[in-house]
Amino acid sequence: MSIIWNKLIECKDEIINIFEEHATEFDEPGLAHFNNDTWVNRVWQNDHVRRAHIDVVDARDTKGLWMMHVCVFPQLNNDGPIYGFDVIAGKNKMTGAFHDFSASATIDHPMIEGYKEAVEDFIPSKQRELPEWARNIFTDKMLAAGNVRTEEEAVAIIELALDNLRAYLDEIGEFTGAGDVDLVTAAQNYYCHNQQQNPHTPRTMKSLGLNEEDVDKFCTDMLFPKIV
Amino acid sequence: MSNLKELTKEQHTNAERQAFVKVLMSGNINPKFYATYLWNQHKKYDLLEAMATAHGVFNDIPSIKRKISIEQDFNELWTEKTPPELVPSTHEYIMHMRDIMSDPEKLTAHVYVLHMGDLSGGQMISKRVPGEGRMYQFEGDIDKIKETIRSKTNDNMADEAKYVFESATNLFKELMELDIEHYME
Repeated sequence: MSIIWNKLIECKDEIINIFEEHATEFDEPGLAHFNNDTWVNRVWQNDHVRRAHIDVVDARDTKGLWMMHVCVFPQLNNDGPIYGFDVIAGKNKMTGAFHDFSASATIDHPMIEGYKEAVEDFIPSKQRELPEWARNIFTDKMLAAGNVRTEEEAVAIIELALDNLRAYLDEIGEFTGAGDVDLVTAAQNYYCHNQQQNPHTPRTMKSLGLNEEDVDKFCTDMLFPKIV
Repeated sequence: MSNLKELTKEQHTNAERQAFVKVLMSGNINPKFYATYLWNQHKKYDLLEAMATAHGVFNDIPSIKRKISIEQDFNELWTEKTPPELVPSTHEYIMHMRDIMSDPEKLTAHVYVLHMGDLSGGQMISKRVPGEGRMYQFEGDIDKIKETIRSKTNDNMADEAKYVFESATNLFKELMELDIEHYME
């Protein structure tokens, strides 16, 4: 039994509930190829969110690891930030947890200010150094924690990410129509481009035992797809 | 019609004078070294094209986008598991794009330098590089495409176009500083 895994699986179920409450699940062309016994990908959308994606790889039995990626992009006429939450965890610890409201077209967006206030008092026991691609897109209050061993800290991260997801989906609609479509598209593409430079993503996914070719294709086409 | 060519002549000439260009034109560039160049170019074109497309810069010339052909050229030549090194100017270019993402004119200045270069000098390079050289193969009448790009430019784009030439110059310099055993075969 693993407390960390149990908490994360509860978190995954809650994220799906939150998406179900706020948006409608849809079939994205090509995504079904990346669903199997250990790998689950689902996407939702509504008038304010063009893509809310949850991606879970359950390799607990084979590799002793569990991974979740959650990313929400606003519609292209909405200048709100991009919600992100990523976790990878072994049986006894979260090896990495990342969470941010990353700017799209408006760097000092009110929702980002709200996010910064929400995370202000949250200082993980071990902060990670960020590489350049990450510094290009993440806020200076990005939550980046590694080696989270205590239940308290894991729960605090999970609760924070869940609270922020609820707040995000409650508030994002206020900014629909506030964004210039061309600019938001360029800004979301900029975010995706930098995310695609993360060398750890494909490496980590391959270490979970997923098919190498599938992972490469997934990372390019499905994880952070540019709009072109 | 703009006078961009004249306004950026100094930076353009400086880029062409770099030692890397001589290696590129030698007909003997080491395929691995050339693939390193392609990988750095791919990062720039991929981002530029995604941003410029968002602003409609390619609306009447969609086939000139190079991202996929550069990718194919790179995959043909690069056989190692980990990708090649990105040089500092490529990282700097990616950061710079954040500052101009809202400005279609500035993005057009990039297309003027990069894509116009592939349509012009690139045509000579294509016969001298390893692999298929898809990056330099365009659909349609090259002169007409160049004219279409030229018609989108104006003199106000000069500073940004100079930046793109300078970024290319830095890329060429930094590539020659990489720890590569043989630049040429």
